Amino acid sequence: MREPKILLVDDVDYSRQLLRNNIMALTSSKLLKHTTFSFFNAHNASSALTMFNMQPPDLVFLDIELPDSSGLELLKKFKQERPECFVAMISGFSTLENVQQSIAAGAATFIVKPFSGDKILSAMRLFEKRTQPQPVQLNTV
Amino acid sequence: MSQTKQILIAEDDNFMRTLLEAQCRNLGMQTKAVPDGAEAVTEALSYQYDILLMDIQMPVCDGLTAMHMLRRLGYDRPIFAMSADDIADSGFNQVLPKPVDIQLLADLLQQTPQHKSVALVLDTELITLFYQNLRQLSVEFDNALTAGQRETLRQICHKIKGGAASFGEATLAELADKLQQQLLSDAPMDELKHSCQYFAEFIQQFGDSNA
Repeated sequence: MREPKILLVDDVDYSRQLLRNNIMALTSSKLLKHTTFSFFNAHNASSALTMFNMQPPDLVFLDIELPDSSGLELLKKFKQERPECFVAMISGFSTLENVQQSIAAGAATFIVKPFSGDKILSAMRLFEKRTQPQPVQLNTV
Repeated sequence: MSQTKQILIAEDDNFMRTLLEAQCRNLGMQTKAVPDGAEAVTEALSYQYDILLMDIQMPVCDGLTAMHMLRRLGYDRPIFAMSADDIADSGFNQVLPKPVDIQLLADLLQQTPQHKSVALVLDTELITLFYQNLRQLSVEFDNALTAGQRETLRQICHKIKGGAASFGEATLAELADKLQQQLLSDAPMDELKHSCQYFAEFIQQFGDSNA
C-alpha cells in the first residue's frame, strides 16, 4: 500500500503537531488501514501552495483562518489543481455558512475545533473510505 | 468515556423540544437540544453524540438539508427523523412518524449502540508547545491592545479558543470565545477595553503559572 502524503496547514505549531501525533497514534492502534503516512507542514497559505505543488498530498488538513489568506480561497485553488485531493477543513468558529462554503468549494469533511480523538479518527476513516488504496507497483520482467 | 448515551435533539417547537428532552433523560440519556437545522449541523460536528434526533420542518435550515450536509461531510452516526409526512431518504437511519410514539422512540434509542470514543493523545512535548505558544500570544495580545488593532485581537482570541479547549482548558477557551464574539460585534472598542485588559492579564498569569 502506497504511503499517503498528508499536508498539515495551520499557523499554530502545536495544532499541526497534535494532528500528526494523533494520526500516528491511530495507526499504531491499528484503527486505520494504512500503517504509515508521510507528513508535510505549512504555517501559512503561501507556503501551503508551494508545498502542495512540490509534494502533491493525498490528504490536506486545512485551517479556515490563516494569517495571509482565507483557508476557503486556498481550498478552491487546491481543488482546481487536483480535484481528487481529499481536504478536511478545520475551524474554531463553526457556522453554517462556513460549512456550506466549504462543501461548495469541495471540502470532503469539516472538523470543528477543539480537536478530539473521534473527530480525527472520523476524518481519517472517511479519507480511507473515499480513496482507494493504490497497490504497490512491482517491477516484473 | 461517558457511561450514558448522548443525544442531540433538533426541534423548533419549544414544547416538543422540552418534552423530548425530558423523555430522553427519563431513558437515562444525556441530552442537548437545538432549535434549528443550522445549529444541529455545527453541534453534530462536535462528534459528541451517539444519536441525532431531528425534526424536518425547522427554520434557518430544515432537517433534510441538515442531514444531507452532515452525510456529505462523512457524518456516519445515526440520524433519526421525526416527520408527519412520508420521507423516503436513505440518509436517515429511520423516520419516526409524528406525533412520535414514545415507546417506539424508547426502543429505537435503546437498540442504538453507544459510540466507543477514542482519546486524544497529548504528550508532554505537545503540552509544552501549547503553553509556549500561549505566552507568545500573550505578548502579541498586549501589543495589539496598545496599538488598538481590533482584528489582531480577535484573531488571537480565535487561536487561543481553539487550542485551549483541546488541552482541557475550558475556562480559558470560554473567555477567549466570549471576547472573540464581542470583538466581532458592533460594540465600540472603548467599551471592550476593560474586557481586553482583563483577558490580557488572565492569559499572562495563565501562561506564567504553567511556565
